[in-house]
Amino acid sequence: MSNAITRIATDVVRDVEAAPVDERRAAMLGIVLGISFYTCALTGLFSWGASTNQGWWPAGPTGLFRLTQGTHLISGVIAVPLLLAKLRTVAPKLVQRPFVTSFAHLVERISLLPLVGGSIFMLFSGVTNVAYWYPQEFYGVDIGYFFPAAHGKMAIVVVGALLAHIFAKISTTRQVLRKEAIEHESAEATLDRRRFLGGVAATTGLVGVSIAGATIYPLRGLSVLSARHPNAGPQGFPVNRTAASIGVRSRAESPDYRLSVEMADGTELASFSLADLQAMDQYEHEIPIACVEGWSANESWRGVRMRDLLAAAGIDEPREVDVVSLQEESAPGRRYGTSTVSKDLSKQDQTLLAMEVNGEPLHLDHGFPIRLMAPARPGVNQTKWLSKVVVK
Amino acid sequence: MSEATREESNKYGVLFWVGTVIGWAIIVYGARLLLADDEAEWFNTVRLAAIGIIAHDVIWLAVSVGTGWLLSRIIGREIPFWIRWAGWTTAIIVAMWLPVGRRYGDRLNNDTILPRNYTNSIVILLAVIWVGAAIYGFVSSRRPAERSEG
Repeated sequence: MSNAITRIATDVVRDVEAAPVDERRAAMLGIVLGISFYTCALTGLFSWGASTNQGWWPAGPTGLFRLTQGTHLISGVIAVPLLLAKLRTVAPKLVQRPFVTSFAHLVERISLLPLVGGSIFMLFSGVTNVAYWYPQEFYGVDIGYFFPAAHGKMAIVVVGALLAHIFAKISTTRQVLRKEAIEHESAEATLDRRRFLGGVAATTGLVGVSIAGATIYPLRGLSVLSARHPNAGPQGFPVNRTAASIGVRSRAESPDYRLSVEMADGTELASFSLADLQAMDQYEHEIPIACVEGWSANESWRGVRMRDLLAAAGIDEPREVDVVSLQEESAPGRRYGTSTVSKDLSKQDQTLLAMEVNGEPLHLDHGFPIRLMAPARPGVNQTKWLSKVVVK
Repeated sequence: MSEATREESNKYGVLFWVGTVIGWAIIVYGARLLLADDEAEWFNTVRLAAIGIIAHDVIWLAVSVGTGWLLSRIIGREIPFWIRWAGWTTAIIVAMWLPVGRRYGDRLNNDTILPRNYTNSIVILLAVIWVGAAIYGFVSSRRPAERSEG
């Protein structure tokens, strides 16, 4: 039995080794894959900038983060079949003899390790993040990592490795894609490549459509692998963290609830009951709620403008503020209980302390009694169950 | 200069080395950030990247190429393109279905995560793949230009 398996394996390897790499196919796939990877990297950088309040991330237009994060999700997901097709195309090089022909070739091969390993990690961690799965253990072995930290840092490694690979392949790519090179090709080889690339395009489209509905609304019915449906949830859109999971229900529903405005040193400037806030001028804006996991939904939010709240507390100049959730009391130390609103954003008309969505009071899981809603921000920074606004 | 040497020097010219130096500088920068960030768990991250290479090269590639090789020996000719495509696409779709289909991301108190019936999803997707592929196979087998290819 083991002899038969060894013989089959040897024959398979020999056949793979003997099969020439279609360099043109590899080049074409490489170009599309490179575009998809760098689109993903660039939008990933935007995602990091928006999530961590980097100064260069703009305070608008309203749907900017929805656009960049949706693009990030789609370019990442479609890279899965593209990467597998590319690796399959160049598979004969894995067993080629001699394995290394020169020092430069050795350097090129070594550079493939961070590229291939990093790419697989990026796509694996991205796809599992979209599915809300954060594996911590595999058959008793600890494999846990904090997604934004590991995904973001490994992205830099992959960007560098891909750059090295592109430079290594520029001359080969130019050569094999020249018109004269194609003219000398047999009709059978051309047909074979077209069929393969057509098949990859079909698979890529299928994979994209099956997930993209979380962010491209018209596709929501077709996105059967999406972990979210943009209409599934209380008041017609999803929730990332529920009030029950954070333990804020009793505080949020308390008749003694108040929103305080404080200076950074703890001096209280003002304190508002829900009725006080409801008595102030109310504004309504369509602002998408867009999550880093890729889903997004456009909703109509109504509430008090941040700048009006600050003015009512005696702060007339635009200021950077921290918005603090009741979560800081119920689950101290847990992530995302506070977020920073830049000076630019705090003076925007659309930066609201929202109390209603789509004409109804906020559902508890959407941040009742008050949540922040501001343009071009990831959902994770649209802090829910507000207790304090801290002026910096 | 021999043909092979000329080819080698064209392939690994100045551009190659410029790209290698810049690329590795970025790789090292990223690796240092990875090492410095406790939350990134660099060891687990690198280990998963290594497992990824092994999973692809030793399992995915070996199984896909080996299965194709074995089937073509059994049926005595090359497996038609549409079957190879459908098999490959099925493997990718099933791999991407696993996290949602096995509901690894389920949360207590939050039924807005994984709201669909993912068993139906995979059945629908596999039906689309195989019916689509069979239609392609049927249509292309009737085209004179491709008939000779079998």
